[in-house]
Amino acid sequence: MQVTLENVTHTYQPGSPFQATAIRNVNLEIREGDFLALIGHTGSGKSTLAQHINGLLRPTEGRVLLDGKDIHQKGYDKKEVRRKVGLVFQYPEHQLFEETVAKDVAFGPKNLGLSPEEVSERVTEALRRVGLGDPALAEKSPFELSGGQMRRVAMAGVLAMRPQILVLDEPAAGLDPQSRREMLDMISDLHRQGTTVVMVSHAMDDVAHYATRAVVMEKGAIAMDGAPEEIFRHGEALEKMGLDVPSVCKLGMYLRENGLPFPQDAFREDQALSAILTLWKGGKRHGAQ
Amino acid sequence: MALNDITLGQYYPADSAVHRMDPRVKILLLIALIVAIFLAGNLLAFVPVVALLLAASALSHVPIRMMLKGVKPLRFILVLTFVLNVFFLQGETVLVDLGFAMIKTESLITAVHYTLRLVFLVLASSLLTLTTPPIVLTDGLERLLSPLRVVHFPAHEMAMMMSIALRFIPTLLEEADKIMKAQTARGADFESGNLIQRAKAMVPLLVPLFVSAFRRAGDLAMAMEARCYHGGEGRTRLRVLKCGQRDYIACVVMALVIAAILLLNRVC
Repeated sequence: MQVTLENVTHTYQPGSPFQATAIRNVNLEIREGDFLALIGHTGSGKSTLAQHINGLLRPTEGRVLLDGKDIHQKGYDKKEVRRKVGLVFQYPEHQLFEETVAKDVAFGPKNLGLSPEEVSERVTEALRRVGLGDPALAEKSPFELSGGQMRRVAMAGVLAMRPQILVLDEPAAGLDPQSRREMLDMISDLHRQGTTVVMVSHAMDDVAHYATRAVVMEKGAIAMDGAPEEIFRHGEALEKMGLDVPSVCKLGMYLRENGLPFPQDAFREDQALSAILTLWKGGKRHGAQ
Repeated sequence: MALNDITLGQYYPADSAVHRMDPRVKILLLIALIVAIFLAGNLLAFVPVVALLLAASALSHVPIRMMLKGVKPLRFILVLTFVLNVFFLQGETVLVDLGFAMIKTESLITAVHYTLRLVFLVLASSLLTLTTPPIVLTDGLERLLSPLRVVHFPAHEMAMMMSIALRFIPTLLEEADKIMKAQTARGADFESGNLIQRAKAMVPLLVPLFVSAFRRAGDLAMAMEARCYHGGEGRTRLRVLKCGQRDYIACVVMALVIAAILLLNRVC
């Protein structure tokens, strides 16, 4: 399962005074097994790009290919795209509508035309996956739940469709630290079990921790694309785009400014630890002399 | 999605003397103009009205074409008015005899008169809405209606509700668009099926939309209270409405138009 964006340009409200080009000439190949982090400043076109991956938006120019086939071609079944590519919007808890949690999660699979048994099996599985396995909870109204639980129900609603590619628009926005970690660990588990993940994010520490690939957008175009260690080596360029770098990189920049040889390519906690240990041992030897 | 195409109100942004006029004066002058249009007793008396509308269009940089857009939805009513008046009014001089019906000169003139009257009414009111942003309009309306407070008419509350409603239409549209997309991503289909299926398909859109509208309303009420909002009593405003020279000139012009109409009524 592979998605290819070919020269994709998207213009909102073309021909009107409010015309705005959100992304311009984007070429991107999302490979199977990627955990791709989509990074960019507000208004850089991340969300627009994300909505092209499952065909919600139609490119003004260019093509979106799913396994080599143009999804906007005549005769291509859109439901097929929706089944294969799951999209979780920002604040997905705002789309809950059913009387019970279980019914809401069942909405997606039902739309796929699955049998009732299959639907209920998927609902149970999806709810268990997001850590809401309690059967009593499934019969509650989604509007009685806490914010974090609602987010997980909404997430389960997409997971129940068993997508092969999961696109998430800032899945951890507005969550408390613990829910945030749980949410990201859950996404990471899905990735480990074979789901391709595309995650829009502002939080560089999360990107450093989970992503296998990072794509940086600026003003509707792709500015950088590569492994996180490559991207975070350009800390200053990122900051110039109004973006952040992981805390470990910040620490490294600070240490280097103060004359300590902290490695450029350390961006995760474990790398920081070994770098600091090396520095410390070196310092001790230096002190002993 | 189709929701992008909805344009709200019909305000035509431009920087002109007409746009800058005091909304209260504009509303009052519109009423005066409507009265003037009804006063015009014959076709010739419409000349000052046409002159005024043309002058206003030129002065406000709003093209006549934009003003005529407001007439378009009324075309059936206009045609109906014309046809009914032509055939059913009494007259003496027969102009055309169609066999099954006769068109008389007098009724033709009256039909033209009545139809034009409707057109001018629409043009006059669209002149107001084209040159005044909705929020300013409600502001003007509030001030005009505020003397009615003595009879406990809630002028301020009404204006506040109207401006809040206007303010939130684009927000809710955006929200609706987002929810629609999110449900489409879950395989919802808003576009096919028969009437009942389509109505049912709206549930996943409407429920979240209502929930969010209530949430927003709650937040807004809280934010207003936090900023000590307690109704219109003793409230001052950021933009104080003030009548200026241009408003007085406009009033004089309107008076002249009405005088001219009365004069033309006498003459013909």
